[in-house]
Amino acid sequence: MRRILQQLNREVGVKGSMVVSPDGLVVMAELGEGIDQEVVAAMASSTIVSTKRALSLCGSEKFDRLILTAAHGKIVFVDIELAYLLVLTDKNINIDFTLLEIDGAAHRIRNTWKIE
Amino acid sequence: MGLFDTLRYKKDLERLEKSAREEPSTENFLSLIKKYISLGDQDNALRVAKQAVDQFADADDVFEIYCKLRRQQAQEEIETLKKNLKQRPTPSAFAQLAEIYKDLREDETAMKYCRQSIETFPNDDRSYCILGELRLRRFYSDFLRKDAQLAITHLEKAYELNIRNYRSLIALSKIYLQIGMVQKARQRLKSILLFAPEDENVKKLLDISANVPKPPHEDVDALLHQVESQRRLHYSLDRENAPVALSILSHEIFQEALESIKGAEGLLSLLICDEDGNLIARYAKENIDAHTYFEVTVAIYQTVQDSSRQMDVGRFQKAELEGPFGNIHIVSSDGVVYMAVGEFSVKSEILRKHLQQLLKAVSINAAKNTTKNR
Repeated sequence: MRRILQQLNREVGVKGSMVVSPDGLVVMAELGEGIDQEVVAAMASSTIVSTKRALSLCGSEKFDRLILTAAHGKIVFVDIELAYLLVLTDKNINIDFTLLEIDGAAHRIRNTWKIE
Repeated sequence: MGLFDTLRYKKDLERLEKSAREEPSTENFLSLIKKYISLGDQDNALRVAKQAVDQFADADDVFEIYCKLRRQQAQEEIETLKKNLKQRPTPSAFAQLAEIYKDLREDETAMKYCRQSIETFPNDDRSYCILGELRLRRFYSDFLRKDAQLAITHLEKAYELNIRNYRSLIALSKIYLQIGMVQKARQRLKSILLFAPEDENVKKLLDISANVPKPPHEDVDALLHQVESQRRLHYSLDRENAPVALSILSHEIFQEALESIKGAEGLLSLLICDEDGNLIARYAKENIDAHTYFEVTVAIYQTVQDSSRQMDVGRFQKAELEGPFGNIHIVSSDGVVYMAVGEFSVKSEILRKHLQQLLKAVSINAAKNTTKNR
């Protein structure tokens, strides 16, 4: 899994990635310099839990992907069944192109788990 | 190039220089920069681009051309500095590299060199000063409390390490003044006068400070909280370019905009609210419970807005959520939050297009309203 994250981090504009469980447990993290792992994991968990709670009001807790764009970067959450793949990127990247790589990484992680 | 060509180019240049000087606009500046580039005069192109960027900091096309020219000019310097850092790191080389990247608005890279410098040379004030200025630039654009707190911490550290750090002291004075910490601003300005007693800029700021409205308590956290929630400074030194508070837009402007796109392909609901989550206008397809969708989307908006602040990626701009329930897109613009809920079958691009149409319709209606009121 670490290799998959390292490979993903080599894509243009990707600043770091991690696999985090909905309760905030860091399964694996490959975050760049200057990114606070504990804060990102805690906030990722809070985002996942709160979004699911909100969605439950319309009858479905599950979400497949969340792309958050802010003034200085983007954060992508992808559901990988047991956990979420979280990717932090630069603000100026072409997200559609990077999403292909992120989805590929998510798919490989899911497969790794199935084999294990 | 013949004599006539030379004369023609010279005349063209004089005309463009005059236009940029007398009627400064992004178009006039860009024409002049492109002319210099076509003549192979990179130095003058960069000089004009710098002037343009200083005057039109938010114009993307101006910054793009400036960045390209600056990068070309600095390429050799960057390589040399990186080589020097590998062989014999010095605080000056770290600071120079950070300054170049700061100028190119590559904040992450600039911060990286500052952090490395602080690790190796913790008693050098320059990197703290640059870090403070980088955070300050974010704060002046996003008005997020966290950026201001970090800026103040870094700039105060630079001042602690070097009591004659003019840049830090000026930056501190300006931020304190603009958030309402008037006494603190005056203290820092007076610290500059100790080593630069004739500084006109400082004297001018001291004069201004006498007229800045004083808040009841100079509590930095409370004042920053106020700036963040109101999205404007207590007092702006750049009064001409200070963001105008969003005019009170009537419910009708938004409702009218919603009417113009209701019934669009795959759209279940469109909702508009303010940043505190108060509903302004809404549309829902027949038999769709708009109230529930409003509760869901507002809760998601509040979550992602908080996450972007806490994760240090700046002010929230937009979110796109996909799942078995369909799609939810949220866009925040000028203090108003626009939320669209689409059917499961609708593609993200379509929903994005609907929201863009909605924003455009609001802006057209608001412009019409302003003209009518005049």
